[in-house]
Amino acid sequence: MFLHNFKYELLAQLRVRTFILWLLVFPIALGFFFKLTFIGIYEKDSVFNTIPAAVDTTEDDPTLRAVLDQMEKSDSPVIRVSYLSAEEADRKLKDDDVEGIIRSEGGVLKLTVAGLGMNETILKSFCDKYNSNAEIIRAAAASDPTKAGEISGMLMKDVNTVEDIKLVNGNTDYYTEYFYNLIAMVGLFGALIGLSVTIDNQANLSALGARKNCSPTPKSVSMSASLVSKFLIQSVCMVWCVSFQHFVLGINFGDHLLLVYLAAIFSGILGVSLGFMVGSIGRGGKDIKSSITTAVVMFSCFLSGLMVGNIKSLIGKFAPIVNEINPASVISDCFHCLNIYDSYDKFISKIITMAVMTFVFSFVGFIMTRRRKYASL
Amino acid sequence: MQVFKVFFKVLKKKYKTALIYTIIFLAISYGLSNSNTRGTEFKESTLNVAVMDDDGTEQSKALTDFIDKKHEIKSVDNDEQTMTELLYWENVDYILVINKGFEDALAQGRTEGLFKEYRVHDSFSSVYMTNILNEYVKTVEAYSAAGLSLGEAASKTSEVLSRSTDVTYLSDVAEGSEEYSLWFSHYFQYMPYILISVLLSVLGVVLGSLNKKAIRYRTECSAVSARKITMQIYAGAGVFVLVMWLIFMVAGAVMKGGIYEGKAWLAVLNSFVFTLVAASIAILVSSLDLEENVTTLVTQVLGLGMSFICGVFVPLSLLSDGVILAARFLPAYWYIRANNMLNGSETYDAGKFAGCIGIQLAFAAVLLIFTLVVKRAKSSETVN
Repeated sequence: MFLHNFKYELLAQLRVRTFILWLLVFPIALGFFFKLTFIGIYEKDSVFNTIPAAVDTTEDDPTLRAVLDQMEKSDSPVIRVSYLSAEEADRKLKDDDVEGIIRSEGGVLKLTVAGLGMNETILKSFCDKYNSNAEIIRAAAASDPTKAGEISGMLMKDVNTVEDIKLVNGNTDYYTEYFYNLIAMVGLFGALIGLSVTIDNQANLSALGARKNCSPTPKSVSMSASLVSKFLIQSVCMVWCVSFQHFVLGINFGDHLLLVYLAAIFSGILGVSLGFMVGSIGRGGKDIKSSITTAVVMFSCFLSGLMVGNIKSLIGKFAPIVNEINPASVISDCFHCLNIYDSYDKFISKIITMAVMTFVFSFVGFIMTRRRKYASL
Repeated sequence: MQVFKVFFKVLKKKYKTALIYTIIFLAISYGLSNSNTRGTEFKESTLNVAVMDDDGTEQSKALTDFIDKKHEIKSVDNDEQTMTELLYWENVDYILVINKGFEDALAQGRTEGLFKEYRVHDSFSSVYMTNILNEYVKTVEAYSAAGLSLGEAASKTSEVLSRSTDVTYLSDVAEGSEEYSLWFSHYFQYMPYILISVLLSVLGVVLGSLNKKAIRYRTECSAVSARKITMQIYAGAGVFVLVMWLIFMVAGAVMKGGIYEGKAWLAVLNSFVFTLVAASIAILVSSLDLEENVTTLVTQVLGLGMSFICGVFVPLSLLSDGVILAARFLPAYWYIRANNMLNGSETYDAGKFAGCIGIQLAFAAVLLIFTLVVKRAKSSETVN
């Protein structure tokens, strides 16, 4: 009986072609917009690149020129300068071709910037360093001229005091989090399919529900068949969503693609069960339940960083529990953990959280819909 | 007036839906506005630096104090997962370990292996702090070579390296004014997403019911002319949209803590014009006679898609030229340009501002004309 119901539930759902089509088009359209937006942002915004600067040639400073020349010889120079007249330098600064203008006035460097970020801070730090070194060498020359050369050499030499330990081997582009959240949203929008499980089985909400309630099939069997068929359809949508993002958009999900598929399928099932639960609570009609579902999904995605990427970390600071129980955060954390950590502990704990949520939502859905009796149909 | 009244009768039936969407998007709007801050006068970037002092000597403490002068010192658990999360989300910019034997190494003039840095991104902060540390060590050693004791050298280094270069901050960018602060401009910044979502969700549901095939066929049989029906539906939608816009404006005033002043009124005008655009989109989408679930997905594609590529969620300055070129063909881009002029991210020019408003109005008009064409096509479908 279960298989019979399952087959027809599946066929019935597949006949709602426009919605299924949109579930497939939805990740393509948004994925495309996301990809368009985030092309090169990480490299532009977060990864260090050599900073272009101008040196005002109004007052020529051979020492400055020598220091800068030596600096530019390194493999990855911090600053790359062009020597320009004052007017030309001002124009380049306004056109954003350079990040700052370095001027030497009587051997002391001054800086002009037009921005407020790390580039300007690094330029200022170079000027600070130059000015303080000059002061130290002047003071040394005044107190003990024999040591001035040695001190100058010490200040100019290249040293490497810091050994760096890379904590992450995966993709560190945090704009990829937006794609994780997109998968979470697509998964949770499975709630709209889940909603139809209760709508189509409750006699007070749909004509189909009224007809089904007249049938001798036990409700538990018809509901389970309906729910499992939606799980299957949503799982296919999730496989499509991940495949499109990875193979067409070229999103780097790290080295565990099969586990990414697994997590995405779990997220779809979680979404369907969420809709099943929302649909089963209260006596509201299809409209109201559908708006509650959409509102819950969107708010959940907002809290996990769909619109503002770092909101999850802000929430983590003030109310970490929200990230632990918010379905969208749990889903996007799954992908995050797979990508960032070498161990699977966190990933497994997130998958278990999703499984528990799915069980609770489905359980509540079944409890709320059982033994409903109608005076007339 | 019959159709006008019917519009509100349907709306009354759907008021709970409208209420849910309004509340949820108000909450999202409030959250979005408070998740973004920015400063405008030149200030050296202050980093959040976590220092793990394995040496625990006077010299390592002197270094920590030196870093503390310009930056925020944060305490962090020595646990890889915690450190990874903090660095990944940039809640901490740099995690420094002062290795055991730091003081001895300084005394012997060794510069290798003094520190460790835990790293996630190859970031600007990392380059900057590494330079500062190298500079600190070289300067201490130079002072030591000049004959100062290690303690004196450290304190002299801290003093010299804390001196600041004169910086001129040249900017054609005005600072956010008191009447329209940068903080408050974020409320309006996210308005396109909110307006598209809320109007498509609510207006879409109401107009969708009126546009249902069976109801439309019945209405079109009536004695009221098609033109009058359309006009009355538009009038009803207009009143509803006006009320929704007012709700968001009142919420903005409450958030601001008083009535709008000066430039803020121009932001109000800008949002009103965009409301007309969002309403036109909603009317167009509802005329396509989509299922309610499909409307929900279309709403998110339009709202989120337009917001991302038009600079609502990501600053225009970060978007590539190609994306900006494409965004010019979307109304939200012109809304954001106008808002940027008001909050000081772009130079304010009354002519350009009026241009942005005009382009948005033109988008609304084109969308409405397009809707009429769709409707005409649908009604000829009915006749046939």
